[in-house]
Amino acid sequence: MMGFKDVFLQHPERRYIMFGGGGGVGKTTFSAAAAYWLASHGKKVLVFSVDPQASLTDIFKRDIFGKGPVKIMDNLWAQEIDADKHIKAYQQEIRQKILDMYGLPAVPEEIENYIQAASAEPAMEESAMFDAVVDMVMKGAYDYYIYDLVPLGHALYYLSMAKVYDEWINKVTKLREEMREYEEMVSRIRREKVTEQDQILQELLYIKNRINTSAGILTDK
Amino acid sequence: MVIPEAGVINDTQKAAKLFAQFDVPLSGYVVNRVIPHELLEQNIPEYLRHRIAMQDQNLVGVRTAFGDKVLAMVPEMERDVTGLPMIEKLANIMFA
Repeated sequence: MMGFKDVFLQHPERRYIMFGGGGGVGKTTFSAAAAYWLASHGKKVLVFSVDPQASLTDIFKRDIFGKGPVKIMDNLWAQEIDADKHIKAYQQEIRQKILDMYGLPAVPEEIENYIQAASAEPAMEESAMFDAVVDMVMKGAYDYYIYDLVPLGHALYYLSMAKVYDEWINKVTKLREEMREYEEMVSRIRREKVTEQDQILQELLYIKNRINTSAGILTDK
Repeated sequence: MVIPEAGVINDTQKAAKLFAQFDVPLSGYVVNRVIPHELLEQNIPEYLRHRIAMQDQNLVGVRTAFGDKVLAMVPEMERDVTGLPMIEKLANIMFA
């Protein structure tokens, strides 16, 4: 029979470790213990929580909430993501993008209201968490990333959204690329130079790349 | 992760199906909170004996549901896992 240890020894390429399960089965504890074992065997490990009710702070007896990666011992870092902080940064980023893309001096009031209202939605928190996690794993600074997963429903909800976003972004991207071709043709006829980058298209491709990266991790593809 | 309780086993099976639908592969299952059988040799209250008998039955359910995908059985610890010495203890059981 394959044991828990064998999975790690036989599959060193599995660098993203996730413990899933219902509430109260011990996900956070196991995340911490697996991180400890790997770190004490010389692997550089980051264990992190995306669950607002997470208790890595309790388990390690260290206040790590919202402090970025905190070193626990040799090779072992732990992190609890502060969703609120990320939501605020996220809102600011959205405002900045609107200003840049449309060349506005200030965010119009109705859009500001919309940003405020959207932030109250649970999807905004998940989105902010998602962004924070993608930033972390894309840096690739650790041998192992151990996710203390939110309860199952949330993880699956996220995956289903990833599929929807991906399809939607594909469609919009294709449309914008076609538009761009026409624009270039028109410019050539008018003998104008095309230098302006399609910022919205760039942004969509950036989001798509991030979604694909994390969906790739979750689906092992 | 699963614990030897009928409801949790059912939920875990449902979740596994959903993960499969979304192409998320699972390395295996870990059973947590198993009350140590050695306690049966001691003078323990009826209450605890019943809990162990119930868990035994549910562990058969775990085997039926997840078979050789069960990677480890981890006992219910005598106290909360907090602080590095307890984490180390748990890690050594998990990775035994």
